[in-house]
Amino acid sequence: MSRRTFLVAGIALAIVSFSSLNIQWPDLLPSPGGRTIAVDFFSAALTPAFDFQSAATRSLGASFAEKLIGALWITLRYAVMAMTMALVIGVVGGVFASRAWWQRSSKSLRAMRSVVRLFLTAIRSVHELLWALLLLTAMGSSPWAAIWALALPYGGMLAKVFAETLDETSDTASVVLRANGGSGIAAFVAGIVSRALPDLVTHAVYRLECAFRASAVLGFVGIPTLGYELATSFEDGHFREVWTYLYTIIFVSLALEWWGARLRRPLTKGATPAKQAMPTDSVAALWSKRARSPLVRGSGIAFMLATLVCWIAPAQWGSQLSIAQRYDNFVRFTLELVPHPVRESGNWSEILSWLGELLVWDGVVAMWSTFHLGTLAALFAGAVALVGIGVTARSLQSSTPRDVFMGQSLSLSVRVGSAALLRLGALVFRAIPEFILAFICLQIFGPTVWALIVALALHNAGVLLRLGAEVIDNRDVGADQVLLSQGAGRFVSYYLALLPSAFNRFLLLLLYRWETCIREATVLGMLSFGSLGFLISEARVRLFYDEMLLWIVLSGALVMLGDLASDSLRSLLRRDHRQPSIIRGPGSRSPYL
Amino acid sequence: MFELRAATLRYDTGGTTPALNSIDLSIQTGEQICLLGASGAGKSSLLGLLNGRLQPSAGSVSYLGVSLQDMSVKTLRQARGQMAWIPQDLGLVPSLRVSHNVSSGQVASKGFWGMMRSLVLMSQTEQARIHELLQRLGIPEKMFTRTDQLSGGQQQRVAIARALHQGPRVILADEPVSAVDPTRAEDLLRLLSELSREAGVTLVVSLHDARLAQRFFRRFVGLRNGQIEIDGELTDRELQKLYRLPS
Repeated sequence: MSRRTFLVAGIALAIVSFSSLNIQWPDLLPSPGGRTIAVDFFSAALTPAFDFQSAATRSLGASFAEKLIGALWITLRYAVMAMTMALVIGVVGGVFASRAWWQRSSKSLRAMRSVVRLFLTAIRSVHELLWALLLLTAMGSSPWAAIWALALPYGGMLAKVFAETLDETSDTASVVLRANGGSGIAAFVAGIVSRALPDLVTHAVYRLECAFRASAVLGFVGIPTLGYELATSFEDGHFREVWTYLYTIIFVSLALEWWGARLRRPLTKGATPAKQAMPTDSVAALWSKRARSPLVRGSGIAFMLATLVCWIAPAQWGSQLSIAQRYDNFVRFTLELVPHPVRESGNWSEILSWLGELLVWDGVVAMWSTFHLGTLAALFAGAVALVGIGVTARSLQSSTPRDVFMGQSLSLSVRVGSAALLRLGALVFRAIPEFILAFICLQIFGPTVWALIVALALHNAGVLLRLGAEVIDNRDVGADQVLLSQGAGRFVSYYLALLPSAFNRFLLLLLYRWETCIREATVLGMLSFGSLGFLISEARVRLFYDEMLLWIVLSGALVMLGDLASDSLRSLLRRDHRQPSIIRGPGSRSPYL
Repeated sequence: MFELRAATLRYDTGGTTPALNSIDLSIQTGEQICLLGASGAGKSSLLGLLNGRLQPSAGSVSYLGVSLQDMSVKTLRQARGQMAWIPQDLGLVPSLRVSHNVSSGQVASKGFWGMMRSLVLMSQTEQARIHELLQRLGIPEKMFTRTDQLSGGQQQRVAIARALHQGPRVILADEPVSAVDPTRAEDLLRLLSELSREAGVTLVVSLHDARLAQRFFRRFVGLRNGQIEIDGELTDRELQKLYRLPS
């Protein structure tokens, strides 16, 4: 498939999405009320609150700092607990969903892989917010509802990536271990898992960062994490408090991202060996002088301690319902999941007319809108990234781009400054969850689909700018240096040499982000727009749990279809353009995929 | 030690020509044999048959008097535990330390949990044994270094160390020196040959470079189009015939 095909398809898709969503350009301007909110909101950015803005709240007892730390603790705690559960699902599911595990098994056993994959796809296709809605309704307010809501989809995502990583790992060592008499399981673990382990750990750290952001977003369905406090302060017009919560989310996200990036090198390349001559006479002396990474060791210990503390600390939130009451609630909830015509008549044949009515009038339209919302946001993010990467890539914006001296220039500081500014913007937008960005955009733009598109596009452009710049910085093309040596500028070199050679890699990244956009689009409707999320939210408010379940299943199905389409396109890209068009960065796979 | 009787190997790729065609070969304990032949002649397939990784489409392959095809899973695993395998790409785990890679040679005798124990907490006895082995191979200082931080030549020594740590009765090496320069290739072959001789281990090595092979081996098995053309000492005439060189 050529670049031109993809570009034309992208533009055509954007036009269809524009007309399907009935988008109006004037809606891109903030509403009159939104303008005032925007001014107040952004002017508060430089003066985040260190105390409650309202004197009435101040007099209630707990200080603002206590509230902030409490919400941060709950957010982190749920993220860590959910990740430990997700790791169990991810490791077990990843192994059983991989081809590498089943490759020497009989056909009937290999069918197990499809069953496992289907289960994992189902649990990861439903957004964590939707899991939270379902579990909160079924279990009542309980920390476990929040933790399972994060653990299930994240377990599914980890399993998918783990399985792909295991399948992409070279099996040469495993073949030798089998040839040397090792059992299948020993050869798999010592030959394949041990080889893939650095990539698996790096990805798990990235998922922890995502889980923290997702945990914050759970506040929007009433779980007292940072998102809950942020939304409450915003609705009260306490924008300085909102900024404090936002800065906290950004700071923790970036700290986790920084930690993951620092861990990546020693994990994939190993600790830097000592410069001095190694003793050769004794094992003990060699062991004491071995290359060690204090960061890897410290991180492992810190994570284990943090996990222990999170699991054994007393719960701070939850209703006082007894187990019997919870059980009654659960039974009532499961009974109400049965479609209401069937519940009333006991006749299951009525399910078809119920389904048909709902799907024709609302379901198909909502799925269509959700798909286009996600697609348009992904396309915008891709367009911003394609232009912006030329500015943010460090190897292009230094005084010697791609190691070619370009002469003395006074504009260098301007260029470096603007690149740093764009990088900072990308950093902030990718650290703020899409749902929170959408919530803020809706207050500014008013209830318009633009608010959701802008929010989704900004977050994903932030991610793509970083990944794309990494691709360019790690790329060794040669033609770029020739162009620069012949007098071309940085952007000419980027557009004529670097971008064409890295284009397929960008497309792969974009397709991954497109999957994410579709998944996020299923819940953004909960904030206003008539997509699947809107229907879910509405059904829940009206206590129509049968309808709520149907919309959740539809949203899962849409995400599954998106995954399937993206998977097919990606394998098409990989097949058409093997190395060197698709480079593998340091280590092997990006943890962000 | 090995007996091949009319062993034929056909891959399931739809081709009409078998990879190995009615091979008869006998290998005695302690022998050092070099397999020669152009690419696609059947050297790797023959090594695969000896290891039992590949099953002959016709004929038989026996190890110590027992047919490899008739062995149970357990017996075949035990037999393979006596055969060290060194592939062309060495098959090392790059992210593991040298000690772990060497230790993995004993995967058959240790079993799954023993292997896991060695990966997490290796016994001092095993560490000492591996250290001694690495000393003989000239890289003791690399014992706790990550394998991907070693040079190509050092990685090859690690692969040889893994093979010797296994305590094998036979070493099967598939073009083990194809990726290094001639001087290093000679050093490594000498090392492999000497250490195998010292330990009384049978050595079957496939090589491309016949001139290099002539310095270390007395018995040559030359393959062409899946058939044995030479078995014994190598003369220039036979070499020309094997590679169809102009005389």
